[in-house]
Amino acid sequence: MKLNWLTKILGTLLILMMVVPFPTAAAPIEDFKSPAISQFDVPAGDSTSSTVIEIRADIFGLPISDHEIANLYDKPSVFLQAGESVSFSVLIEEDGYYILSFDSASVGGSLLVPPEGYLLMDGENALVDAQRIVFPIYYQNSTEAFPLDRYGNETLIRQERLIRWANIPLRDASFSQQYPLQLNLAKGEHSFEFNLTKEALLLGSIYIELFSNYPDYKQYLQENQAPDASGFSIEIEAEHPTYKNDTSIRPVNNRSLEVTPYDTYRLLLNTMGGENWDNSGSAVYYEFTVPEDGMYCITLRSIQNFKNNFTVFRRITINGVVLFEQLNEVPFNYSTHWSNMTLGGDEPYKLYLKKGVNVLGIEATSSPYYSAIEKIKKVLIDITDLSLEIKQLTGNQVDPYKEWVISDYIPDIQERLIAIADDLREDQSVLETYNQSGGSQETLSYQMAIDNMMFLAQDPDKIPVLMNRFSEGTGSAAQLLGSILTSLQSQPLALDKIYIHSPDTPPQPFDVPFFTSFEDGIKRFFHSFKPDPYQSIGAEEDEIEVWVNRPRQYVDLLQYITDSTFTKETGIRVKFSIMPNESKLVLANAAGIQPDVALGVSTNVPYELAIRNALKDLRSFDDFDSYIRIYSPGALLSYIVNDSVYAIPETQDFWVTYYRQDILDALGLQVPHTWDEVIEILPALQRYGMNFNTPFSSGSGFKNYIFTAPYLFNQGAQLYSSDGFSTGLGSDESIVAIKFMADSFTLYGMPLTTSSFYDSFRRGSLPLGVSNFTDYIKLLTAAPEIKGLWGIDLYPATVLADGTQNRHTTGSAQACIMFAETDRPNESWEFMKWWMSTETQIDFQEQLILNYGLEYLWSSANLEAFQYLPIPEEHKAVILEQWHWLQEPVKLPGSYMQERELSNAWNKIVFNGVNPRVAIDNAVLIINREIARKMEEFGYLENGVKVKEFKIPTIETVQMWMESDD
Amino acid sequence: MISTMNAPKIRFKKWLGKEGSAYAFLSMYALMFIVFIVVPVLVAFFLSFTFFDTIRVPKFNGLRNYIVLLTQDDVFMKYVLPNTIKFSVIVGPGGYLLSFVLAWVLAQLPRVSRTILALILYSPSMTTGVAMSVVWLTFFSGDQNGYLNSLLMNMSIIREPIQWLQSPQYLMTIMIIVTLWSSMGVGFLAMLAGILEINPELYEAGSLDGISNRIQEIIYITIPSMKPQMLFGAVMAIVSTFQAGAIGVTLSGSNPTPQYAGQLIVNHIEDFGFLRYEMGYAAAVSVVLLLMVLLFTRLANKLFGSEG
Repeated sequence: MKLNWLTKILGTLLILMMVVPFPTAAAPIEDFKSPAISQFDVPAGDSTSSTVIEIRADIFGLPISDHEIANLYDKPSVFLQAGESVSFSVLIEEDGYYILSFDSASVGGSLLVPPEGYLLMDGENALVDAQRIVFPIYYQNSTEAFPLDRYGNETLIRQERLIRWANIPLRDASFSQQYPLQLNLAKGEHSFEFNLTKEALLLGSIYIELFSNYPDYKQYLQENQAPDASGFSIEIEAEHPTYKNDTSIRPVNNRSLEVTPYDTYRLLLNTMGGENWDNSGSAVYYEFTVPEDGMYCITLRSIQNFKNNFTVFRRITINGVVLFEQLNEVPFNYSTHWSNMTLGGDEPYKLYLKKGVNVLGIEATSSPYYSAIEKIKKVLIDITDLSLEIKQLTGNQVDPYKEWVISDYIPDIQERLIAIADDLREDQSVLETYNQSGGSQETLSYQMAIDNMMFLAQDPDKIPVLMNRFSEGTGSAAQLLGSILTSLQSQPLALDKIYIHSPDTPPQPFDVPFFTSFEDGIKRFFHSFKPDPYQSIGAEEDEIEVWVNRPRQYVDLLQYITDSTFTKETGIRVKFSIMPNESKLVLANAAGIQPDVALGVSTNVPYELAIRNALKDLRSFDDFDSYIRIYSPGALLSYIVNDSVYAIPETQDFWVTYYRQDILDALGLQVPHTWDEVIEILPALQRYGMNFNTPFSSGSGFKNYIFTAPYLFNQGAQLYSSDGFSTGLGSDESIVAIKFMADSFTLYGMPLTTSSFYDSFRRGSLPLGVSNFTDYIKLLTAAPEIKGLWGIDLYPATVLADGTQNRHTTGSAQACIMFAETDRPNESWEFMKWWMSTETQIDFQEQLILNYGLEYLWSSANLEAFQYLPIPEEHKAVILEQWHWLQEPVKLPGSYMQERELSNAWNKIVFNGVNPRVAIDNAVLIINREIARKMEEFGYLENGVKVKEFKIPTIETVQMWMESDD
Repeated sequence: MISTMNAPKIRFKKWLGKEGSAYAFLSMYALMFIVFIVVPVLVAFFLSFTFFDTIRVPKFNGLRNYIVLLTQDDVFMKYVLPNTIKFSVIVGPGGYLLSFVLAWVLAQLPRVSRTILALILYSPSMTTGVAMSVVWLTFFSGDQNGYLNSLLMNMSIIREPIQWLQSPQYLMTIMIIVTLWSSMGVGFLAMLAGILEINPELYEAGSLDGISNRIQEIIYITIPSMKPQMLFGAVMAIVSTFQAGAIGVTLSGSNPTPQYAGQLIVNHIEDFGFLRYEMGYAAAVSVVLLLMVLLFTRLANKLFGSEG
């Protein structure tokens, strides 16, 4: 019942916010993506106080905005777009540290990229940390209750932009510091210039005030004296925030009886945050109403069982303000049970709240660990420098029996090592005070890193043979510190409920009786025998059945988007099922229970099904040729049989060069753009035990076309003879290509196995290398210590004798297919077109990130949609450029044998030292035989005589189709 | 009259009491066995005489698959058959012997330590899948962080990491080592039980009759007394050896293995069935595999089968 009452309040609030008019005309901003707009609800700095200097927007010299959103702000404001700036000067009356804040509203077109800017003070960068000022975007739920999927489980609510005015203090871009940034200003006149670099912003007044710590709680109580409220208590379910500033904080299901709401059989999204709410600066906000002015308490029902014996922190704000020092960093200890955490503990803090609507903000913060984090970053740089110095002396190959007197060459090495250890010790106490139970991964690793340093300092001459305790390998000081760094920054916490209550009515502790949980366990045990509806096959009569080769999160979202848009618009109903294993497609087809459409199918599957007539020819639909203009032409090549196309690309991969700028700078090297340049810098890299990584090193013994074909394409070699009845590997070009493919490893010593390029790249042992989308996501989301130090560039070019530079790579990842036996071809085609359309793809990729975070980056094969991905523009440009070079290997009956023999030939040359010519001649024989055998099977040959023409598709063929007018 | 009318009924009742209940108990298993073993074997046998690409309807083509297998399949004759024979000759008898020796050694230990050691030796065969990726792939990994490479490089035996799993000359050896490591399975437990079952009085009697050392004891008393367990162990070893196909593919990360160096019959069947979509031919190869297993099992029966 309490819940009902709560939703009513929330609903009323929501409606109140919605009634504000929607922008209609004369909007200088083009696309707001149907935002909801909220009133300006954050108190601006008190301009009457003597310490606050307010710079109103009307002195910026820009036209005052008359935008709808600007009208919600009671002072003048200006509209800034990326590249624009405002300047102003301020007369400071006394020396001191000042903080700056902006009244602003983020109004850019992107749903995901927040506006960013930087601040110049007296013509120079004000502070190192002020080079990137991030203005948050706020998100809110588009509906009130969680939508239910077909099986009664709750799914995430679609998130939408909430454009609101807020007072944004100048903070560091990673929100990791305890206080807003402080500018050291001397008495006198100062000029400021604020530049916007990304997106768009409505900027109101700017405030400058003298920095002072937040008051202590006692002081706060003295300043805010009011009677305690009495007999009042409200519960807010944490999974229903009013708004938030980070989409990765999302409601999650918790299967514990200790949380509400709870259902034995259905998955309810009943808690907020958890592992995904771990970035410093990520905040959720809850609006609530109190009946009268007075002192109130706040209790959070929470759990931190994500990191053993580790204390995480939250910053609590009321109406955007940290009321007193104790609320700036509120600790949450590790616990295995949900518990009611009243702010202040046994003597709850009393907070003064005004009658009416208040906003509670809960922000993840790693600021207590700030000094330790910064120290580790500094130490890591010291270690890298020192290890490079050592490497310069010892080279790569280390003979354990060789004796070094390192101290002759680096005389201060011992002092430097001890200094590093001492540096680390300084912050050890910080970690230990916050994690008193000891035994946390972080404190232990920290101690081990210090021990390593001290051990090495005892006898520095041994360092060359003990590099694995210093900077290389999993137990080295550098690795240990690197992992602590990530770990300290992550502050996970899950919330179930928030109680706002008067001091005399604390929430009742909530224990689950043993029998209840026992009974529930039994019920769930028996329920587990029921079939999983998500994997059931078979659809209703009037539905298209679609199998998806992807995890549940994708399928849920797909079903939701389809039901809410596609089905609504066209009336065609679609049922999605998870396909646990791709081989099921072939078996289902044999059994006659195949779906109408399958999504997420691997690149090599469609061709095999297609030549055996199991798939529908998509080119038989009239609008196919004009439809495929959204793709890279080369991406379709492996789905073509003669003039028919049997699949359309869904996602797309890319192979680009990754480089570590910091290491290249240290070694004085440039990013190589051609293979010749790669080979030129290899000796320099190898001298330091570093190398250039190729996709060949991924570990599998079989090197498929993804790895081998680009070498052939770039040399200008044809995979097959022009009629398609024999291989093209015998040509001179392909021999050159295969020779280079082998030489890279035998002659130039590129690594043959890399267990993880991502790890080696972070560690710096492979500062350069070609890799794909998977590593891109990892580096983007899970490599904080090298953030900003790496970049991507085009795949190294092969330079031909005539000077042409070829950079072809493969790149297909997954495809959509339609089965020939479908009884709804037209509806299915409608669905496929809708699914791959730019609009749907943009929506899908945005919703994925909004719901699940950046880790779920979706690399759509639809080039137009890809341009909207929220990744750095310079990366996007490289990837899109690389996709111009995308070329998939053409398939023909028996071509798998060529892929296989190419791999075997390479293997023979590299491992058995066979002459390339001999290896290839051998392969050519086998390939030709297999092609002939298969051509016979498919009726192109009869007793060795050609009876039917076979067409080899080329990029030009596809381009011709794309350009045709129909 | 009455007695003749009731005769079949009575006979049926008699049968029901005598054998019927046995069949009733058997029926559940028999049903499963027929549905999941007998029928698939028969279907495979039938498919082996057809051309079947798993997608279209099978076409009858007589003995063609078998003729192609014997006369045209280079890979089968050149790599798969020799590999399989090499692998099974070493792993089969080798694993079998190892099982027996370890079982015998364990049997000499006191109860507690024996149980613990038996569990330790048995556990690899239960955890193969997991252990494979966690332990062996890391152990033999081809970069300098792989355990074996790291060890050898630290000892200055090699300077460059060796590609244990990609290089054809090492793959088979590693497959054999890993399979031997995990071969202490059910057969081993049966043998251990068999050895422990032997009446100790036999050994006493033997020593009175002039047995002078443990080897003689094993040959004249232990082995003859545990023939059923030896047979069971042998059959299990043969079947599991011929069926071991996943190992090479898991280690090298792909089917086919590099230069077919670790290609066993099972991989060959999968290659044709699922990579080349020639299910009929794959069925023919699996029938050959079945015959081979049958043959060797007969052989084991001859060796250890107890007459009567």
